[in-house]
Amino acid sequence: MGKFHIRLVGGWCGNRMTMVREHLTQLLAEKGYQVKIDEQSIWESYAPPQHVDLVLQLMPAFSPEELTPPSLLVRSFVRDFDHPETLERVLEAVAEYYFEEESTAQVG
Amino acid sequence: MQTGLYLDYCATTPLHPRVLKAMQLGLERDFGNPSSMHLYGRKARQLVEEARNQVAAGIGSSPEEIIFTSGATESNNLALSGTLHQLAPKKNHLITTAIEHHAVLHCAEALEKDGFQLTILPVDASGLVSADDLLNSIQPDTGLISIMMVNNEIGTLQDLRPLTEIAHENGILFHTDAVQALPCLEVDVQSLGVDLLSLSGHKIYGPKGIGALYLKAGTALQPSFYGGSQENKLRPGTENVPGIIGLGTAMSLRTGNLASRRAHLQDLRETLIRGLKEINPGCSINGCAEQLSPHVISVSFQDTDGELLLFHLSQEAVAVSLGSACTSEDLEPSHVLSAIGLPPEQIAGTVRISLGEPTTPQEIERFLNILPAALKRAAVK
Repeated sequence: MGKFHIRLVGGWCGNRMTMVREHLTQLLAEKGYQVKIDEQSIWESYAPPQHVDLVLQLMPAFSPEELTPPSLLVRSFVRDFDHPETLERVLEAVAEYYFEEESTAQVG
Repeated sequence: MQTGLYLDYCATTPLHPRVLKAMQLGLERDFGNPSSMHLYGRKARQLVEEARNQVAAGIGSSPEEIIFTSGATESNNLALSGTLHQLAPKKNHLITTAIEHHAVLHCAEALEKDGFQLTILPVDASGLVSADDLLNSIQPDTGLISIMMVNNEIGTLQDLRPLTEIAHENGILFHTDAVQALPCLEVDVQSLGVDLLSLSGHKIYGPKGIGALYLKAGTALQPSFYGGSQENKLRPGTENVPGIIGLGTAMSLRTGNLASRRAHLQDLRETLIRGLKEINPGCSINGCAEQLSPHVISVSFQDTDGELLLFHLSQEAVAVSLGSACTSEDLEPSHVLSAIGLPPEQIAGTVRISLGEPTTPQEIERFLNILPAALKRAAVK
């Protein structure tokens, strides 16, 4: 099973984005998920992310219609890394992927 | 190529062509060190003193009361730190407000860490300080009160005179950061009754890296630097002659057309606010409608991501500022907008539009044409 690839989309404050990325990476690793998270600042690239499994947006930069991968708005992380409802939605999305991957592997 | 639309004059202003011309002479021809006794030095000294006269004339002070610095941040630090260190240990209490520029607030917090006492006064929803609050916060050991004249984020103009009177009735020195008042308001140290006043060059079409501190005659101040006799030993170091010439020229240009500049900005402001309300009736204008500097417009849009709005405006070459400042490790909501009681969601949708002398009605119209699409793209669903 390959690493689950998340793209974190944010703005000018690169430090904040990095802090969110590091926090999520650690949290998901603790939960046993192999996850790769990278960052995209809209000020550097305003192209909708592609070829990733999930897009997490710290700001509503791209609408779901513009994005091929599923996406979640995680604006609450700007003020609170551990925002419970937002974290739950992220964990659900990751767990769903892992469940699907596992099912596919078993069928194959 | 798309022409830029600059609406961020509170951040900085372009150099006035006459300022540039005056500075070029200071950089090329009159390059001497003002402390040198020879011809070159004397010429440079003459230019520095001419600039000192121009700055003094612009704020109603004597030339001897002007200290050149590297900018308003240094002026504010020198005013706070220099005054309190001079007055300590007898007087070691500082009063300031929650909406000051970080050049004052962070300096005040640093002084507090060094053992000085600090009181930070709240402001009301329009950004005004209460005279009663000020009076009640005074202690027997209060040495300095520092309250800005015009707030750089919301444009509120403090009525300083009653506050300086309170200070003087209690034997306390009064400092004001007048950086954002200078672009279009009358600033007169005598009628304001201040003892210290900070100003900056690059907010008034002068160069960056130069500012001044007005220090009322007879007011003692401890310098922050040592090593020379420049600026009456209060700010040693070889003078930034081109910068000083630029500041002097900018100050004299400012004084010459203040009334027409203010009227021009007031007209533009009214057009802009009318347009904003037509485009987005739910938007709110922050600050005090009755007491303001017309060049600052802080507007909060509901259900909008301010940075995304800034980004989409920037894609159209429009330059405005955000209501939140990204500091080294955090995206903190603006301390000014927080102090006037805006909730975080509203702060997140706040942008500052600031106008300048070169701004035209056509530019405002162009901005209002671009804004609706940018707002749509920045909506928080």
